[in-house]
Amino acid sequence: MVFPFERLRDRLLTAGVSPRHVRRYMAELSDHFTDLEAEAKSVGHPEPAARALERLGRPDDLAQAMIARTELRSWTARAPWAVFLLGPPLLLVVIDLISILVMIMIVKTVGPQPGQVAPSWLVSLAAAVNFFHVYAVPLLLGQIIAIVAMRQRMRPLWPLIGLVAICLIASLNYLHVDVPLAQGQHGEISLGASAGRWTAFRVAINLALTLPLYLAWRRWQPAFARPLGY
Amino acid sequence: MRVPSRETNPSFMSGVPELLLLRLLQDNEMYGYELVQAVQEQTKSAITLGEGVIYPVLHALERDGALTSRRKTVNGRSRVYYRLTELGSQRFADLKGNWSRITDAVSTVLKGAEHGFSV
Repeated sequence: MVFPFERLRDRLLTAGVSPRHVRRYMAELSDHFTDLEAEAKSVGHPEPAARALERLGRPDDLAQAMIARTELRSWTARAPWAVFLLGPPLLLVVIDLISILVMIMIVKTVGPQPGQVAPSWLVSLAAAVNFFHVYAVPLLLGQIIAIVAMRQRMRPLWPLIGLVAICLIASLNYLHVDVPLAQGQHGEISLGASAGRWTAFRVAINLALTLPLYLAWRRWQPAFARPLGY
Repeated sequence: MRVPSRETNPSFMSGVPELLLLRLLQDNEMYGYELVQAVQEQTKSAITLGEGVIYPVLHALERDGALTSRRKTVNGRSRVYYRLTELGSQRFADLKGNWSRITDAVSTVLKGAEHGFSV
C-alpha cells in the first residue's frame, strides 16, 4: 500500500507550511510508513497497512504538529505582501540589470571590429532583448506569481494584487538596446519608465494573458475542492 | 508524543521530545523510524510516540541549527538521517540542566508530601 499523503500535503500547504518542509515531511512519513508496514508484516499482523497508519498518527495530529511550528511557515504565508507585491518588481529590476550587463559584455567582446560593421546576429540579439522586455518579461513575472501562488495553495487576494501590480509596472518599464553598428560608434541603452498611448493597451494585454491562466489554473486545481484529511 | 498524563496536562511534556531526540542524536546520526524505536526501547515504552509527529520537531531543530540532515542510502533504502551540531550539543546541555532542576524540584516536593509536608 502507498502512504496516502496527498490530502495531508494540500492541507499543510494551504496552512502556509513551506513547500520545502512539506515535501520532506511527506517523504519521511512515507519512509516511516514503509518501515512500520514491514514491521507489522514481520510479526504477522493481519492488517499491516492499517496498523502502520495507526502508529504513524492521525491525519489531524500529523497536520497540527507541523502547522503549530510557525517557524516552518513559508515567506508567502508570513509576508504575502512582500512576496507578491515587492518580489516581482525587484525581479524586474534584476532582469533589467542582468540584460544590460550581458549586452555590454557581448558588445565589448564581439562588437564591431576595425573596418567592419557589427555582425547581423548582434543586431538581432539586441532586437530580441528589446522584444523580450516588452512582451515576454511581464508574462514571465505573471507566471512566476501564479506558480508560487499555486504551489503554496494561496488564497487569491495577494496573488491577484501582485499580478495587477506587475502587469502595470512591467508595462511602464522599458529597456531598449541599440548596439554600435561600426567601430567607433556608440551603442545606446535606455532604461526607465514611461506612460504613453500604448501603455493602457499593454497593461490590458498583459492582464489578459496572465490573469485568466491563473484563475483557470486555480479553478481546476483539485486541491482547492478537496476536503481536508486523508 | 503520547504519555499517560498527556490528555489531562498536555503542556507537562512540553520540550521532552526535543530533549530525547537531542540526546539520542548525540551518539549517532539516525533517521525518524530509528529514533522512535530508540525512544521506546530506552524508556521501556514509558514514552511512546505518535510516530509521525517527531518530524516537525526534527525540522524545527534543524532550522534552528541544532541538527543537520542528509539523505543517505543504506541497504537500498534512502532515508533522511539527522546529526547533532555543536549548537545542538549546547542546546541539549541547556535543556538537560533545566530538566534536572525541574525534576529535582518536583521530587523534593513529592518527598515532602510523603513525609507529611503541607502547603
